Amino acid sequence: MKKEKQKLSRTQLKKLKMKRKVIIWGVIVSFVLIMSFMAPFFLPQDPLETNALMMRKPPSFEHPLGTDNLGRDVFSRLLAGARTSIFATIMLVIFSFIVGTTIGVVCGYYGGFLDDIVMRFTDILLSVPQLVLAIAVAGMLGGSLVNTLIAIGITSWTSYARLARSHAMRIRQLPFINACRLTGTSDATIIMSHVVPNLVGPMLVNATLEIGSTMLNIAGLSFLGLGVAPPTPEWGAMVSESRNYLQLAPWAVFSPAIAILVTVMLFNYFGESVCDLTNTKEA
Amino acid sequence: MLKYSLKRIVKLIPVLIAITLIVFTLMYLTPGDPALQKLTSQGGEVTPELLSEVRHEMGLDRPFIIRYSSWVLNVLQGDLGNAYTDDQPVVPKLMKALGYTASLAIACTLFSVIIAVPLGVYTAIKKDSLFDNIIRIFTFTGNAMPNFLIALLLMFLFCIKIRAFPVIATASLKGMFLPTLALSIPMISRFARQTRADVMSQLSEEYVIGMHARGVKERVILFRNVLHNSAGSIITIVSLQIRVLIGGSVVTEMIFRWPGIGNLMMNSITARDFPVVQGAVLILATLQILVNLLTDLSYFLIDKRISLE
Amino acid sequence: MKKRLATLLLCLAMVFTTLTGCGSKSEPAPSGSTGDANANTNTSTSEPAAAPEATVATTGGIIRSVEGFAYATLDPHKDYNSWHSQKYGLTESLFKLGDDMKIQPWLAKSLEIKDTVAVLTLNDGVCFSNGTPLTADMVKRNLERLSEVNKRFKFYANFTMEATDDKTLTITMPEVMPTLENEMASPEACMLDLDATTDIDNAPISTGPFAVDVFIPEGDITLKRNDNYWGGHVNLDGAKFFSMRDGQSKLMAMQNGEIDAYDSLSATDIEIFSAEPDRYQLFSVPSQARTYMFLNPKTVPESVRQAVILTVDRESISAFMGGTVSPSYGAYNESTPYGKVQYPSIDLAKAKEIMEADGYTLNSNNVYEKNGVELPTIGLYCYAARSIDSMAVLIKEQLTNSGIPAEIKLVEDPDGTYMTDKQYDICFYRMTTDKTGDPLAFIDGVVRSGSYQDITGYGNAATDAQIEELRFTIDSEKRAEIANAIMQDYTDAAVFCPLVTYNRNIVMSTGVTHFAETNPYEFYTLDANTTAPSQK
Repeated sequence: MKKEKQKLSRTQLKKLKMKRKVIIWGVIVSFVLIMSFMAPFFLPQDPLETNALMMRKPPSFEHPLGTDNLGRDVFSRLLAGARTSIFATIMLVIFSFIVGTTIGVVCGYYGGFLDDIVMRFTDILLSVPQLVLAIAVAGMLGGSLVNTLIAIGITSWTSYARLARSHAMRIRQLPFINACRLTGTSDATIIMSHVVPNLVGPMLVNATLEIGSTMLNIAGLSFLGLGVAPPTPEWGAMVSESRNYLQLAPWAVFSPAIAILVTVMLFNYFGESVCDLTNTKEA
Repeated sequence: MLKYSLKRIVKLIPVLIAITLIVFTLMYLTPGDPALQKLTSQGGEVTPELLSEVRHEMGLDRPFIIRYSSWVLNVLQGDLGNAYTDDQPVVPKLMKALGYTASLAIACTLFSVIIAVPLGVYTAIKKDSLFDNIIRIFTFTGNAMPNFLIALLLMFLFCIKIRAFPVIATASLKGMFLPTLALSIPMISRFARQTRADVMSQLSEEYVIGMHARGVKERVILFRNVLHNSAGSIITIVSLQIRVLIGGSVVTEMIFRWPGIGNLMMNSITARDFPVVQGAVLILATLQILVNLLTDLSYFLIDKRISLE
Repeated sequence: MKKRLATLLLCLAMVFTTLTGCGSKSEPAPSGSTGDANANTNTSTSEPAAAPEATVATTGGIIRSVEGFAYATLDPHKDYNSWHSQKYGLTESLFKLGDDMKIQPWLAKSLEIKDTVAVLTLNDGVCFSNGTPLTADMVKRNLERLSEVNKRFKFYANFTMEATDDKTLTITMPEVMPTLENEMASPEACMLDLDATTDIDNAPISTGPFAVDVFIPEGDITLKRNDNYWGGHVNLDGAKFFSMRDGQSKLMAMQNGEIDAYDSLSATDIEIFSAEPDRYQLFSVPSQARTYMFLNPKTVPESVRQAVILTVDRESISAFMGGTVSPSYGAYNESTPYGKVQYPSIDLAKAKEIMEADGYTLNSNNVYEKNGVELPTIGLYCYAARSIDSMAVLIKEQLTNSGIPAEIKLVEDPDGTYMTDKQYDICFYRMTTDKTGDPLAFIDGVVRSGSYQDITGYGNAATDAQIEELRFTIDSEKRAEIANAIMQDYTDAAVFCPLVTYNRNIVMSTGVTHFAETNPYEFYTLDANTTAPSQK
């Protein structure tokens, strides 16, 4: 009896620890989010102002991260770019989450011919290199951040759809759903009040885990010159703009790259802590 | 087994057809006139007469459906046409580039597996040790690194600061080292984490505890059972990474000037050299589908219990 | 938990050490010199130190350089392949363009044009690398082949050519063609031994100081000395051109000593090489490649177009580009007789005057408005090559500061977008405006109505008549007069604005000479006198 109590408190302790972890990382991530949204109002210098006398200057008191090829303050550009880079990522994750989950649930719940078609379609989408899709989209709609997001969005919803589909298929076969059907509840009601609430948890966990890799994806494409139009600061584009000056101004290349790294790590830590917590809950 | 494979292959045919259509349509809809590109690529003057003549010669004035069907018919005969930029056949170009990409991908996969699997197993056994924690820091960082950061950092250190590698050595082993390393760092991180997680979950399984209780040697349990059972998920992640390697090594190939298919594709896209782009995409997509197929078949070989629906 | 925070701190620490580490290492580049274009050209005066070594180095050796384009065949008559083969000293054209852009004899001694008949006389002793002499009949066959395989030289097919003797070719043209000599100075007008050449794609036999040793399609090319060179002794034993497109690799290969010289340097390259004058010689010659803007009269009112032209600060743009470009105030070099039409430099007061005369006033946001309506934002359409996107960033800033709102529209490829669909407000384009020392090519391709670059809709019947007159005028003074008149009208319409002229920047290791470092044309590089770098 005594032993059992101890064991219980140990798992409780573990759970508590995990909860605390989620909260701490959640606070840090929210802090970063708020900072990135507020940053444009607290810029030390104009991120767009060029200066021929200050080109490629190393970090100094005035320019904590140096200046870039056109004499612009890298630190100010980094702050101004935070909103673009992070906001774009979050938007894309939300979009993929909603679209993917909806399609996945419908396919998983109804199955059959529709399901087959959609799944084949995702196969096809996933086998065309993303770069080509992105370039075709950028070419057709013009190069801009929104179009880059569309290009990634075309394929990114598929992983959510597949996950939602497998959950929906599992839930559909549960006895209580059958019971609902027998009582004449409509499919729409069953999906909205039983299927979705049961899979939204794991789907959200997946979404938080995906934030990091989504950000890397956007950065990769904007590094290839498919993102924002200059002179708008954006991290991936900043790296690409200063890449040719690697020898003369490494700070202009590595500052935005490391900003991406740190942000992705933060989101990954947060995602993992959420994932750990839900896993212990299930266990 | 054979029947299953055949069934899978037959199912691939509509997917492949759809891919040819998508690839062709994408290129068709992408703005940019290859005839113009051809004429202006090195600073020539363009007259409308010259333009329409070149367009006719390149077959750009024919309707979409005719261009598509003649392209597909040629593809079926193994002919991907001639490149717009230099009028040379596309197939040898692609094969050459594919060879470079494949050697990089193979080197990178082998290198990553050789490093990551033992690392993953060891850190799983020595869970929460100092070593495990250090490795965890590295794998976590490696996982979050943008690929261009790794490539630029390696280039900055090895080519600019130390000058340990010759710049003109692309095809040699020495030239291969840096791009392989750049591509391997995130892969090692992912493999090691996955292997660690798998082995750990296997180690807590009841059969392992039982074997321990029966006095079976740790090493035997590890190699006979645990690794064997984890192989499935390791193969999954390796196959996922191959997708990243064949499609996503563009940035690395570009930075290190590796003459692989990513580089070729990027250059051809800039030059609006549609036959090359179409060929490259078609080959990459086919490869991707083949990798998926092989992955599924290898599950079957490793674990016969997986049902073959 | 603590471990993870520690990780994060570790990373931040790494950030700092990397950045500060880099900062301290790259410090020896203090104030001022960065944007100074003169500093770069001056470095060429540091040559005396290398001069004595150069005389020692005339004993052969090889030179290694890079080739920026990948091409599958060496056939010099096709496409632009001759631009490369002539660089390598493999082929030579009938005439050549000197450092002063004037035509000089090369394979041909002279061309005498009388109305529609031209008489071409070949230089004495010209022979192919296999020793076979070049005959007038072979020239005829080469020109005929050129007209068949290259669309830009189709006009040769309309000529009646007859070899009067071994050295003389009489050409009868359907109509007067004043620019024939210029066309013959084009690299494509090169001569192959069509009888002896068996593999025209990989090993054409030609007249230059070097012959093909190994050619890898789309890859490197190795050249060996032509022992039968008609122009005398060839100094080098051979040469190698590595195929390399990326600017960074060229820079690093040069720093590593893997190559001895290359051209079209970037601003970074210039800054790095000029820091080590005892290792590198730098040369800068203005080329004829220019970047200019078109201003769309359909979407931008005339007063605004004029104000834009007066607001653009070319000197400042050049300062940012660090010696890779110089300001350009006209479509042609102002020293040429046909380049007398030049634009005024920046004049903000006059720009303001023009805007105010048209009823615009600056409002409290520092934006021009007319009748209470703000000037709509002008789209600057550009593409990311040859620093054109950076120029657009600077021009956007200059315009915005002067009350003309602008935003950048970056496209993948100008020819597929604004150059053909004509959807733009202001757009950028780059072209070699003066390829052969004559004004016709630019006017014919840009100003004439319906020409490819007439995207502003400027072309009109009166100008077209002037262009036809120019086409058939032989007297060069008269040609210049007509060209200046055409360009004056074009300038007054405020639809075109030249921005910068690119400089041909070349770096060579000490000891290297005669790398065409003073010639403005990119299709000259090696010749019989080129020397290898001094041994270290």
